[in-house]
Amino acid sequence: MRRALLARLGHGAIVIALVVSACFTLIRLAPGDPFFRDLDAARLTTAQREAQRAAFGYDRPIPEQFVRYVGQVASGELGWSHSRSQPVADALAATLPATLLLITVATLLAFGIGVPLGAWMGWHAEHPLARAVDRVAVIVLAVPDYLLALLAVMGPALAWGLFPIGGMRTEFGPRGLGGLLDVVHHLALPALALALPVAATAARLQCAAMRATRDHAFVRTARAKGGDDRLARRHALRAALVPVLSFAGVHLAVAVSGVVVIERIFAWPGMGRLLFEGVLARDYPLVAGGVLVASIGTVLGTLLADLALRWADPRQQALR
Amino acid sequence: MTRRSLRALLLALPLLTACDRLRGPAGAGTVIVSTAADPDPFLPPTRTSVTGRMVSELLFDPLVEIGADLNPFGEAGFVPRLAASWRWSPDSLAVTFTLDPKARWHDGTSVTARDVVTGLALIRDPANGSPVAGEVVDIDSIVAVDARTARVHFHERSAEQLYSASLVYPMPSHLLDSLPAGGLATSAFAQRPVGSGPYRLVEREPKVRLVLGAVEDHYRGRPGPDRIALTISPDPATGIAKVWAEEADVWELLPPPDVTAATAYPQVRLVPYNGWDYTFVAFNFRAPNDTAAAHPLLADPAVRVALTQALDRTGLIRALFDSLAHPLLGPFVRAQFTADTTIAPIPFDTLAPARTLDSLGWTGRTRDGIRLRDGRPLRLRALVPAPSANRVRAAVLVQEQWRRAGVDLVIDKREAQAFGAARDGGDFDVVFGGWGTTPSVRGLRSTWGSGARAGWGRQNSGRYASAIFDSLVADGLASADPVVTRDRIRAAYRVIVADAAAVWLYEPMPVAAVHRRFLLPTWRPEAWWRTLPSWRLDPEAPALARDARPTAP
Repeated sequence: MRRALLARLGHGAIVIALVVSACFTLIRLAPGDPFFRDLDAARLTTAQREAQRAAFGYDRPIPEQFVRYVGQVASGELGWSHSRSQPVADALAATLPATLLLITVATLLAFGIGVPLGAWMGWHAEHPLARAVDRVAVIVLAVPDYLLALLAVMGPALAWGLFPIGGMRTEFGPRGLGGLLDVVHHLALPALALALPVAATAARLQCAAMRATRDHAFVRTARAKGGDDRLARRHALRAALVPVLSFAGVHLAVAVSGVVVIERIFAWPGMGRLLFEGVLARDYPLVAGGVLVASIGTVLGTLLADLALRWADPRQQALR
Repeated sequence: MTRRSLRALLLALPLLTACDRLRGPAGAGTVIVSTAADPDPFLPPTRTSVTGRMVSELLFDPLVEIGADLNPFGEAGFVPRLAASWRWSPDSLAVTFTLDPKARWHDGTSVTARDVVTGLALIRDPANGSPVAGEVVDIDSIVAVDARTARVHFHERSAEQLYSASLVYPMPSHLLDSLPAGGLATSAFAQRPVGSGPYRLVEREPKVRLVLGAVEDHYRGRPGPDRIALTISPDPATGIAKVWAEEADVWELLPPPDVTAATAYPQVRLVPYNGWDYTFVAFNFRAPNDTAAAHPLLADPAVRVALTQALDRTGLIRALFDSLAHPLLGPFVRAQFTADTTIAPIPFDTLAPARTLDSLGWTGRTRDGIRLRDGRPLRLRALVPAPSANRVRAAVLVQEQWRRAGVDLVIDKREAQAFGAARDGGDFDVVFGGWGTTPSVRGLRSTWGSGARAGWGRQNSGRYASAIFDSLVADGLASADPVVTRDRIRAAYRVIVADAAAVWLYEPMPVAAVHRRFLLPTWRPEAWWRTLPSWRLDPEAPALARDARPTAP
């Protein structure tokens, strides 16, 4: 088990190194640089641009810049963010908690709603309500995430006034417990907008798995032992969780990209927005640092999902 | 938790946390400006965006400032700021500023002549990448005569000498003189600047918010609002919705559909004003793949005139902006001192372009109606910036109108940096460009002047080159007589319009949304924030919770 885990971590480290190297190189090959001004702003003179590029070492060959970057990272230094005028480590430290909060709450909501709902739908597949919920899930999946987010802003927030428009807290709003409630209030819509499509997917996956499992021999055996329906359902659910847990691993990777849209529309001060704006601004150190953290998170997330999968499915004796 | 208690909590949350009417003692108000752009960088030597300019001009005062009539020529149009007075040398090649003895930095240190010298040194350091550097090339040096007296020496006399001096913001030498070259951007000062303006920096979360607090003992008097905050929403729809929902007080540039939507929000006042931006379709005078060679089509003035005639700009503007834009008359906006509204544009004509193109041999037609000459279609590639929704829409309308004239316009839409790289490299046939102007006309040297003169033509993407235009602009700027300057510049406008260097498209008329609880002074179109210190809460209008006097600095 330990060996398999170490091997898995080793693979993860290779994946992270490849992803960061690719991003490091590709963003430098894209047109522009961190010193580009606004679209119609006065341009830098050639002397200014060369002086700025030289000051940050961007005038050196890309392999040399990469070696220098690796050395920096090894010494715990992630560089300077040009677009935010602060160290990259500070920028990540300021935004990572907001993204973790959003993704964690959205994931809990998504699977907290999707799994029980899907299990119920699968167990009661012939029930008209189960079919109706399935149709709703399809509709939710058909709506693009940015449209769902915009509808949330225009409806519950602006038209009905139930939620704030955007941001993480009210400007000059309450502090203490009131401040905490204020964050919860601001979190509700973005978390729901992020969670709903995932919940719909999880529900449909869980439903299909439950339908396939409820007629298996081990479920019939559970029933035959004289246990009540709840016991049989519990047996079926554990086995039916396998595809949903596989999906959960993938979801963590997808959530990092999905959160970009949600954070932008809800002005949520998270890392997705930071990365998106960093790419547009060709903020080389910020993008490299952000991708490094995001890929570490994704690798660890998928590892956790695999461990959960192993728990749910005893047939998987070793980590794949 | 029961269903009833969950519902009660949901309904109570807005009451517990949302913006509410004032309960505490009224202060002088808090203005929340909603914006899509982060102000960074916001130090006077390095600021690049409009939002950055706003913050820098609230944090820092210049020596002198252009007055309400926006006349950049001579000195009549300028008002004192950190400089209480000034006098010219007999040869007009130097101006000596006497600093206001009451002027202090936000840390309490007096503003000195040495700070003026530091201000210019930061602009001149190439590693700081100051966009102002090109605007102050006429300044030779600045000398600190004594602690309260700074003398600015110029290379030559010009109409805009004082305007140049107004661009040099004194910077605190006691905090900055020890910085290494190019170290301004990464310095602690850049994150926590100490300014001389009516507001000080209180709090900053990059890309999220920035809060400024009133300087109680400012040498020009205590500013009005207690606080000015910027709340940044990268998506403009969210930023505007914050104003509708009273989460913010100002949105500077409403898109036309939102101007109509604003009527649904009674707390919002619409403030229309003259814009400072203009949009054009610049022709490339040089071959896209070989800038040493003339463009095979567009170097011919007859083709440029025909293409201009083929465009119904009035219809295009109505489709894009309804009534919220003017047709552009040339490389200037109506708010500029040199604006000439008597210039006759090349008129829309459905027949003349066909005659011209026929005479040039473009007589064949493809099945789609595109003109052919020697078997080659009349095709142009248009470079369009994807982030500008208006320009993307304009490109589609231009494409359709030129198609009717038999011209195939291929739209090459690119994200900002890729657009910038292609534009600067001349990789296009036509480019949908735009410039933000200022009261000064010196920008003409780099935007439309030719590279034949040193320092000119740096931003002239289409490489338009006219010795007559250059001479008129140079003569105008060199004259000390504002009337002569204006006449020369207007003559230069006529030359470039007659040359059809571009299709002059539109000049938007911006509309701002502002909360009605503020009494506003006259809106300054070129820099509305300059009047923010004189905004007042309307005693007749209900204040909001955030208008309560702040409890902590």
